[in-house]
Amino acid sequence: MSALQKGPDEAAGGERRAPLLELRQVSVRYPVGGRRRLTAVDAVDLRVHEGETLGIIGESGSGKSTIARAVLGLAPVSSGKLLWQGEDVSGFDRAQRREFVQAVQMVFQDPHSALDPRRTIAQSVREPLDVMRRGVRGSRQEVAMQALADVGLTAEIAGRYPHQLSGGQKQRANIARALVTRPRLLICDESVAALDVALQAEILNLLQDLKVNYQLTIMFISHDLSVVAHLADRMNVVYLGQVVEDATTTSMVDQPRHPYSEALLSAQPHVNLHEETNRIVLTGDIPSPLDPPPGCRFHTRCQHAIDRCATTTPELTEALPDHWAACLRTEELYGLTGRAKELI
Amino acid sequence: MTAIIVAADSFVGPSRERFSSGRAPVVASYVILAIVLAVVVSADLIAPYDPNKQDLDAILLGPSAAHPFGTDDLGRDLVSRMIYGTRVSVLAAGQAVAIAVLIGVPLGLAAGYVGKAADLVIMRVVDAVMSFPAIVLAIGITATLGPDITTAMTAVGVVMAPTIIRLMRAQTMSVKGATFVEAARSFGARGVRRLILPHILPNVIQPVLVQIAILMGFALIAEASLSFLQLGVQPPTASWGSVLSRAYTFFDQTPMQIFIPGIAIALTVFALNIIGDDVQRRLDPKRKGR
Amino acid sequence: MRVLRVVGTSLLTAVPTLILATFIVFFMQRLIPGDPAVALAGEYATPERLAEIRADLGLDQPMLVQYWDWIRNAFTGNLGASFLSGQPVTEQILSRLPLTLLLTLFALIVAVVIGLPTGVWAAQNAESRLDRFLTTSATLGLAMPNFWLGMMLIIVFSMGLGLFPGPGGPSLQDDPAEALRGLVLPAMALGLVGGAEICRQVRSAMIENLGADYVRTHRAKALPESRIVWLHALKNSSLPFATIIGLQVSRLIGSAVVVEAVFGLPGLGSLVVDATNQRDYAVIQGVVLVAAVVVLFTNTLVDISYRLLDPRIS
Repeated sequence: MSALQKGPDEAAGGERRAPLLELRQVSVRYPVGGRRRLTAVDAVDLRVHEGETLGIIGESGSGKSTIARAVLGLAPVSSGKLLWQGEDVSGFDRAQRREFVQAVQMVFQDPHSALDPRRTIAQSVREPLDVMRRGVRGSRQEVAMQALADVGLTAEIAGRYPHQLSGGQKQRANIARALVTRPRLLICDESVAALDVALQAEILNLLQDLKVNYQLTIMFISHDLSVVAHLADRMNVVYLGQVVEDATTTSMVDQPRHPYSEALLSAQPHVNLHEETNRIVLTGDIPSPLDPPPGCRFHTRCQHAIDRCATTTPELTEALPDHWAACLRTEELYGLTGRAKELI
Repeated sequence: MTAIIVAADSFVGPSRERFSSGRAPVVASYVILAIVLAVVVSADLIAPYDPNKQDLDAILLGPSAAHPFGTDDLGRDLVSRMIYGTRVSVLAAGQAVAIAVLIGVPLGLAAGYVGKAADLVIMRVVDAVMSFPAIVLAIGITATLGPDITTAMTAVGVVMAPTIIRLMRAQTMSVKGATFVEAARSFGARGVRRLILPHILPNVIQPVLVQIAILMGFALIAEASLSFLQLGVQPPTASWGSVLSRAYTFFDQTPMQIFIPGIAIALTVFALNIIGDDVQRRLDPKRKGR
Repeated sequence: MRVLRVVGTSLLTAVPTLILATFIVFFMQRLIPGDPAVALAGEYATPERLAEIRADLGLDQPMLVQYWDWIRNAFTGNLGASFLSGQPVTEQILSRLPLTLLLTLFALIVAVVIGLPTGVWAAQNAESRLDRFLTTSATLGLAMPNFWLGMMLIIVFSMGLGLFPGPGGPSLQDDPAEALRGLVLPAMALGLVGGAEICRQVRSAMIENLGADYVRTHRAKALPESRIVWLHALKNSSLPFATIIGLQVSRLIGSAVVVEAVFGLPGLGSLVVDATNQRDYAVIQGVVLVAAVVVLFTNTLVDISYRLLDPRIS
């Protein structure tokens, strides 16, 4: 491994502790009839450190949700490793496996369909404890009610069915269900996307509070840059199953080092307060993961693409201190500071 | 010109006077079903005679005060035979439906949930069973095992099971991918006790309940058919089918006796179908809130 | 080329089903209570006679060998001989099959003639009084046991009005004209119930189509409504319609068995009823198998037309 291809950690922190969760070259592939396979996640490296909020950003179809599903064992990891506190998850015995399931919980996108329509809120929230047989039955009920109180739901609501709740209440119930096992890592997959803006803010604030009270590490997956930038300490930008840029939120927002991230940021006036720039409009749709473009996957939509981009696959390299980007022309385009020069 | 008028008119869409005249058959159906069930439960109390008591001095009588429906060729009271026959027919049909459900629900769940090889095998067998005309296969099985109502209705249950398997499979496959199922799996819920019974079954069973009403109707007709062919209920037991069969033998003398069991079957099956439609309409999420 | 491929695909899916169906028929025979040899030769047969019968029937062979012998014979048209008369089963079935097929065909025509227009009509006037009347009538028609309806028709049209012959007409071979006249009432009994079912199914298929975007486009273009309904919507309902017909054939053959018994028609139905009363297992087995083959054959035809009609399936 060349010095340039080292993970962000080794370069940045030197003697830091192992990340809470680490994905090493993880790929998720699905068979799609015949011998064809769909690569939803392609050799992704990713680290989440204890206590931080990691934002994962990408368009729909980028594979960002599949990453979360792979962590939870809902999507098959075809190759690569999942490390929990430095240990390979696939080597876990029963007890460790259980510990892991308890420690990683997820809040799903659609608050309505994530709750079983035929169970009361209390039943749904208590269910993880029942499944994991934690404590005695009575204490489970207490834990569930406490979690509901922590997310701001009353005991009265606990006895209701999902269709009797508002969208915001349902998402709070989903969060409560994710909290009952006292997880260390909370994965939020587009958890506010289905809510209107006022409710989004409410839920985001709730998550911030819970992060402190429950000492959570959060992996926040979203297509909405403003939401992620508001919440995350660090951001990973995903395009077509690959991480194209990885940096702290400040660094990413101020000086993106990948044309894709730059395009995403330019479309977000709220985030990009520092400079006035022209909006970069991406043309076309994200290509099909069944037939990804060769070389740099973004070259088909990139305004700076040159011939080489269609043949050579870029690796994540350090463009700025602790700021990694996978673009062949990073230096050429952005130099060491500032943003892309207008090339003809 | 008329074309334009028609076209413009049709933009208004179908009129919605759903509750004005459409409720009458539905209400009537629930009443019919209630009466049938009441007769099933209280046959011993309301039957004026022993249904099997012969009176050879009073054979093939027309309607009279003592015998409102008349008597059959052995002088048995038809009112009593119809009342007890209701019980026999309904219980027989219920047995067939119960067998269809007991076979169909688990196999349909398995095909839909497990998928792959299990699905392939189950659905192939379903296709094979469905390639027989239901009544013919039921006749074949019953004829082979020997005529008997329990055997016959078991066979009917077996030939009805594929309908439920298909329904359950389709339902299960759609619920299997639901987010709440995925959520349950994310915290480790697997298998029959933690995933299928609490989450999948309750969310797929509703259409099966509707189907039960329809299959009940089918089973009643199957009972009548098999008993008419002497494969079902054996003498002297009365059922709608066996009364009809007997009446048909002497129909040139007492043609009216054919009407009674036939009307009983037709009205009950009609009521079951209407109720099935009605329940389905109520369950249809697209109609909610209207 | 496409036709060949379509036919090939359809046959490929039909063959495994047919093989499984033959398994079912074969194992049905295993359901015979007790020893089939005893059932055949009677309780007082000598052990030698029983052994002889077992060898004759291949009952001393392993199950799979028995199946293989049976299926090989069946495919060459040899379904064994009647346990009772010794007459070949195939011969008996072939002499009865034309009448049953003819009856089914007539019934299907009656069913389509009644069910298709009423179904379209009901869909056109969805949720109106007329629609409700038609669907309620169809539900009532569906609820009538067709053999009972046959009896009613006999009472009215044969005994009452004397328009058509009653039960027990001549066979197709003896007096074709009279035999065909004798098929009118049973075909009506079967077709009325079938038509009721078709009406309901066509109605729901058409309602779905009449609500589709392309219909609204046609209406916006002021195409005559009758043209929209009968040409465009109906054409687009032809796929479900093909399925409905396939299903009906299976239903009608099953019901024909019982209706034949009512009318005393010498078809497959009366053959299997007689065989049942006489415990003639070879005949029962043969009839059940032939019924399945007929249904599978129609299903395959439906499948082929389905694939040819639908441009999305190649």
